[in-house]
Amino acid sequence: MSSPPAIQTERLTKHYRLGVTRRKIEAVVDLDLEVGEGEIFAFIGLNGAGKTTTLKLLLDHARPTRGSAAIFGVNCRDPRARARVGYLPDLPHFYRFLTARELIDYCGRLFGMKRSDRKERSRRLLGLVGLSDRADEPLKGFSRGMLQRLGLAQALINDPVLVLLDEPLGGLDPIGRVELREVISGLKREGCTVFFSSHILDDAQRIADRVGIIHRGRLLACGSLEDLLLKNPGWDVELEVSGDLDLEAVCRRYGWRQELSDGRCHIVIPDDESLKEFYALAASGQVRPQSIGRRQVNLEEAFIAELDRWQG
Amino acid sequence: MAGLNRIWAVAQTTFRETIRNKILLHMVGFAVAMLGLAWVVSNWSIGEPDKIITDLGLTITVLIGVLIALFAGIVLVYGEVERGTILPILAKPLPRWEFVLGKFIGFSGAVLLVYVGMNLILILLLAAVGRPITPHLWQAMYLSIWEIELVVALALLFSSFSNPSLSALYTIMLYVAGRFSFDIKLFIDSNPLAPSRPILEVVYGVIPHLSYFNLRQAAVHTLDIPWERVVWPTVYGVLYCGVVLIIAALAFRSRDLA
Repeated sequence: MSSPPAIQTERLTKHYRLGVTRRKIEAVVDLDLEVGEGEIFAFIGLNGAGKTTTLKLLLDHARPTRGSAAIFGVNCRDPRARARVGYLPDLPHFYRFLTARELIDYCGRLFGMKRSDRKERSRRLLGLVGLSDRADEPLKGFSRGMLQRLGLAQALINDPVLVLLDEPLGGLDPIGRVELREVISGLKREGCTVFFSSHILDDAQRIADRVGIIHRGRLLACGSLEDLLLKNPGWDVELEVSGDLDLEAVCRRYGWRQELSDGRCHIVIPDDESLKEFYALAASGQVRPQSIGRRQVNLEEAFIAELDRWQG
Repeated sequence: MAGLNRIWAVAQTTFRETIRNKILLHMVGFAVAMLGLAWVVSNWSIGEPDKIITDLGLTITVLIGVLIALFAGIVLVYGEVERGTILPILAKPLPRWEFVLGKFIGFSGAVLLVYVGMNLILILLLAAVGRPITPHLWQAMYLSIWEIELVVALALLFSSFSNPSLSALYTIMLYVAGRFSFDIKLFIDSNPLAPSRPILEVVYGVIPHLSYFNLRQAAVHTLDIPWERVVWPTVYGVLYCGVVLIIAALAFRSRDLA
């Protein structure tokens, strides 16, 4: 029998009611998601897209309006689902009067770890996140970046098999981001599943195996990073334009994008249908293509393309 | 067993966090100043200054204890939700009722420590003016602990679903009503045909009967205190706190941590 997925949601939905008028906010709508064991899954979307709410539903910080979510087959409403889960919140805040070592130890105790294991693991984790020399200082003196590092350490205290990270790269400096990406890759090598939300798409592209795009609570696309990037790569055309053609107006009409690169005129054609239209234009002699090639899109472009497609 | 360990971990952390907060230290300083004032006032009064110190001292310590319980208690859960410190904690396999119970135990411990400290100062003061330290004094101090514990439980209850302003309002209302619970009972008994009687009976049943915990006059005048006058209020205090905590846990269980 195959083991259950690390994360599985079925029609997971969360509505909030806001204000005096009890206006309905659809934070997450019918989310069907499956994250396999051992993969790094990036959950990307704009601010307010529903990423954090999804994490809250997975951790039972909020109750679903309908639908269900399970971690390794255990319903998320059950505290046992979180026994092997590590979690780093967005903008982590901790008890101001505890020291870093006390906080890590406290978290270990909540997992039922033995004192000797807690001591050894907290020493190792504080070293990993570069806080060994600040371990006995109260957290009220910690910077945002230091709290982010400490948040990662507390998330790993129980040697988790699933780590949920909410915007983990947001508060870090460039070196910190590189280090965190290495930590995440290291977790994967150890067989850990990592689910992280982000709107820093460059980082997501560097480390994710699979990506889910969420917008206004709805999952627009979900699949491997490769599939997502190859889904609609588009065409990159370098061309010369005859004098009287208003290329800008043509691009606007066909939905192409005009770029200038190395002093040469390029247009980006989003799909094969549009390419046919370009060929027709080229046949009329108004433009002369110099080269046509498949375009390598990055995650940001794929993300924008998915959003454009959704908006029709 | 694992559940007990988790509750204890939450309690210890809450205790540490509360004790290290400087506001608590300021409150203790205020209490010491008030006790000093009680001593000054007793010197100005005619006759039996030790009784005045005992009366004022017992009242001051319990009032400071109640104030700490009230103003720190109303942010006990609310503050954690607002600041987000609760998020990584409830991401562990910690049921919410364990969190509520742990917060209550830890915070109660911190308030108790302050209360005991204030009473030790009071005892030193009484010893200094030559007042014998009788069991009456210990009994009065002991029962006042339950008065404070009830306020802790009520503040925690309101803190689990309401903001600090409303929590303070609700807790103060119940505290004041609780101080007059005997008068409400007296009114009900002496007006059996009053139309408001059913409502007042419900009110009387719900409010904490804080008068049960007041042995201060008996301590001042060294009146005999029968054992059941201490035991039954203790049982009442335990049960009342238990019920309030169950309601707090139920209220907090369904709350979204926004």
